[in-house]
This record gives sequence, C-alpha cells and structure tokens, in this order.
Amino acid sequence: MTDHSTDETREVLLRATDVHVTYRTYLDGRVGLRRRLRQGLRSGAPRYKDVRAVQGVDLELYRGEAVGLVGSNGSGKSSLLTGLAGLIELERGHVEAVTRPSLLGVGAALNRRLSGRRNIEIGCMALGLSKADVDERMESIVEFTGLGDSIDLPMNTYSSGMRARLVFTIATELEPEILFIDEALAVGDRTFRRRATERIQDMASEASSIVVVSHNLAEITRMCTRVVWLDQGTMVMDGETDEVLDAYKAAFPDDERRDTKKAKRKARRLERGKDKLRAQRRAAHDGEDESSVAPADPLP
Amino acid sequence: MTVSATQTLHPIAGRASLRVYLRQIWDRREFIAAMPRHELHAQNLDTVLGNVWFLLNPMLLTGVYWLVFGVLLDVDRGADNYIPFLMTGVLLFRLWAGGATSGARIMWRNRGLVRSLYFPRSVLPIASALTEVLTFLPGVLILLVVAVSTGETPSWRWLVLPLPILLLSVFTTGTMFFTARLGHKFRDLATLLPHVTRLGLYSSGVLYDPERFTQNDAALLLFDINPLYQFITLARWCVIDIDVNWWFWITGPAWAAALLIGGFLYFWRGEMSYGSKA
Repeated sequence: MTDHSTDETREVLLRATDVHVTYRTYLDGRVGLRRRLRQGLRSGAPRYKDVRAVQGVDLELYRGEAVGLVGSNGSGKSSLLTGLAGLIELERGHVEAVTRPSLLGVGAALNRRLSGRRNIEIGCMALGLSKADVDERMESIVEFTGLGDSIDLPMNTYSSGMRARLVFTIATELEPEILFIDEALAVGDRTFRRRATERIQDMASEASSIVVVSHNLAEITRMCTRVVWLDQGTMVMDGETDEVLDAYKAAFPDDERRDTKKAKRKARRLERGKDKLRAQRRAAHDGEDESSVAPADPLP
Repeated sequence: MTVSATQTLHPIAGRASLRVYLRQIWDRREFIAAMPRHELHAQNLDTVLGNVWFLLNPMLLTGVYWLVFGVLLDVDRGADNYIPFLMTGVLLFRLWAGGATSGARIMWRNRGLVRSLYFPRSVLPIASALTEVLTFLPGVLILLVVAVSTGETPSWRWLVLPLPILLLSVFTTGTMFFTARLGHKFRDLATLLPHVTRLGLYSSGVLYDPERFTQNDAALLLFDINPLYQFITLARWCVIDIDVNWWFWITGPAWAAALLIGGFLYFWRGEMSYGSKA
C-alpha cells in the first residue's frame, strides 16, 4: 500500500478515518402485523436487515488528483462516497474536508416532472448560486449539456444518458473542490464521455480532487493517477494506477475482458437491460409521485 | 502525520451547528423563493384550468359546505352571515391541513434532490410551506369579495387580517417540520394524516360556532386552547366582526412561535437521516 501521508508537498482536501457505513435493507417475505409493529415502533423500520457496506476505510484526497475507485458490484464503493459526501450518517468514523464534496450518481434526477432547464436552476440554486448567477450561466450550461431543444422537455422523457449529461453539467458547473463521480459517465455516449473526461482532467489539473467510480478500466487508466481498490467494504489497495489495476485484473480476470470488443457489446446489452429496469422502476416511482402531487383534500 | 493544508479541514459527516445551519438556510433564500414557482408549474402541468384552480377550489369547497351545513343541516343556527363565516374557517383550516399532509410527503418527493446534492434540508419544508401559503392567498381575495356581496361593509379590521394569516402560516410551517421528519421516518404517516386532520376539522369550529352548540364550559375551553380555533376566530373577527377572546392575540403568537421553533429543532436533529435510502 502506498503511504501518502508522508507526502508533504501536496495539500490534503479530504481526510477520512475509520469510516463505517451501515444501511438498512428491507427483507422480502411475509411478516405478521405483530412483528411489524414491534419492530416498527422500536426502530422506525419493520422487517429490515443491516448491511455493513463499508467497514473501516481510511482515505486521504489531495488537491490536483483524479482517483479511480474500483471493486466488484456490492463492494461498497457507492456507500463509501455517499458517506464521505455527508449525505448519510456514518455508523462510525470521521471525515473532514475543505468543503463538502459533490456527489454525482447514476440516474440522479432532481425533479423528473420538470424540464431540464428548470432542473438546472433548482440544482444550481440548491448548491448556493443566486438566481442572477444561474441566469447568467444558463446558456453556457445548456450548451455544455448538448441536449439542444430537449432541455425544455420534462426530465422524465430523458434517457439515462441525457440525465447523466444534465446532472454532470450541474455538478461540475460550480467547479467543486472535491467531486465524486459514481458511474455517472457510463451511460453517456462517446461525444459526451470525451467532453466529460476533458472537463474532469481540467478540474483535476487545476484545483480539484476527483474520485471516479467506473468499471471501465481503460477510462480509469486514461483519467486517474491513483487507484483505490475496495472489496467487501474494506480497502484492498491504494496506489499508482498501473500497480493497482494490474493486481486488480489479476484478481478479477473477468473484468479485463470488458476491454475486448465482444465484451463491450455484452456490456452495452447489459447496460440497456439495466436501463430498461431503471426505466420501469422510474415509471413506478413517477406514478407514486403523481398521486402525491394531486392535492390531497384534507376536508371530507 | 504532516498536514500541509493551506485551508483548514472541517468535519463533514454529521450535521452542522445550529448557527452554521441557519446561515446556510439564509444563503439559500433565493432558492426557497424560487421553489414555489417550479412546484406550482409541476402541479398544474396536466390540468386544463391550471392556476385558475387556486381561485376555483376555495369557492367550490365553500359552496359544497354551505349546501350541506348551511342549507340541509342548518348548522348555522341563525348566525349572521354564515357564508363568509364558513369560508374563513374552511380556507384557513385547509392551509394548515394541506400543509401538514404535503409536509409528510415532501422528503420523499424530493429524494432525487436530497440524494444528489447537499443543501440544508429544512429548505424543503420551508419552500413547501411558502408554496402552500401562496396558493392560499387567492382564496382570501375571493373571501373578501364574498363578504362584500353578502352584505359586509369593508372595515379597518380588514387591514388586520394579514396578522392571523401570518400566525397561521408560521404555525403551519412548524407543523410541516414535524410531519416532514415523521413522514420520512414512517411513510404510513401520509395515509394516516388526513384522518387526523379531519378530526381537527370538527374540533376547531371550522363549520360552526361552538357557542351556539354548547354552554358546557369544559367543552368551550377545549376550543379556546385550540390554536387553529384561535387563528380562525381572529380571522373571522377581521372579516365579519364576531366576538373574540382578546387573549387569543397573545396565545395565538405563542402557539405559532412554539410550533415553529420546536418543529425546526426537531427537523434539524434529523438532518443526516434524509439522504438514507431506508
């Protein structure tokens, strides 16, 4: 493991010590009312199970670096980033940073019923921009998304790639000092991935620290100087990109095949399947949203 | 370990101190002001009449109540000017009940925003309360028109009307802080709440004047300590000059302040829980 703490020349932007993230998942299956009530009253969540997603990770991020975060599905990458970004409560551990990190996730959408343009406004203002600032930057933001006229359509008509474009643009617009990108680029097309990669490299070479989660090892090699490998919630390795990726590929020879053409096609098919699933899930969610938007008349 | 940081590191995980938190909210004031516009836009995208509903709704509702309670059941018991009396109650009560119910859903409805970006979460209930108040205001104009057309003459008391409305709005915001955190914790609340507010409807003198129904002091005391009854009575005094307990002007603000502060603190203590998926 490379010991970065001895490096005195670089400025630490984030330091995490012994981070533990545990989340609750609901168990499937029939549960009697008595048990529901007992568990529900005690903890607020019936029929759940605790999943210990991250178990004691130490990490330091420096100014001017792009770090790749690799690991198999369910290794705790997203949970770690969510915890470091301060979006969920840590089970244990401590995170300190110069500013709060921005987290860019897959399928993130702010308000699906509203247009891309309105979402840009909401997102930028939530991050603290004034209305005047947003208005001033709006055209360049819209331009960068490359969404054209679709920018005025509601977001629930967007494909996952279009959503990714929009959310990536919002999250990078303020040039956050610490940015986490959780597979958000995977769904974008070639043009957008190239522009996004350029922007990430620009940001890293200037002032930011960026963590990229990706299963595309070629992309990580291109963008990142350092790679962190996570497995079952603990850190396996932290060091130079080539060194870590070689070890990672040796441990998971399957992942390397993704680089071959055949595997790429397979991956795309898989992604389409996932997309479909997400779309279905989204449709179900949207249904819920709509019923909750309808003014519930509190009077009989 | 050597730290070469030129900037100091601050703790990220865990919620901000109250001071910092209030500051963060203040920095988002433009965001709070902009939210209702988007919210109303989203709500009315698929209706034919759009924003006209904010005027039509209170009129239709009062019409139905007047038909049932004023004409069929004769609940007014000879009260003067029952229609504006009823309409004031219905309008104000709807602001509170509607706010409580939408508060219970607000964290769920905005989960996309909450899970993607960091901002002080109480911005959401505050913006939602603002939306409720803004959609309520057109009804007040209708109310005054109805009052005049049923024989009231405009009075200096109308100038005081913003005060009970402000108190009720603050009270509603406080309520929404409570229902927002509870509703995030127990999704069941959104289903349960309409029943609770319905109970509130019958115990807050919305449809009738309790003094025309009972002389029982204990029962009347229950009305008198009910903050909603206080706000509604104060507003009725403004619109149609009914008798009012003058100490409502003291207890009303006290209730509003208590709910606002209590609700805010309760919501703030849960600040870190709103991003979780469970």
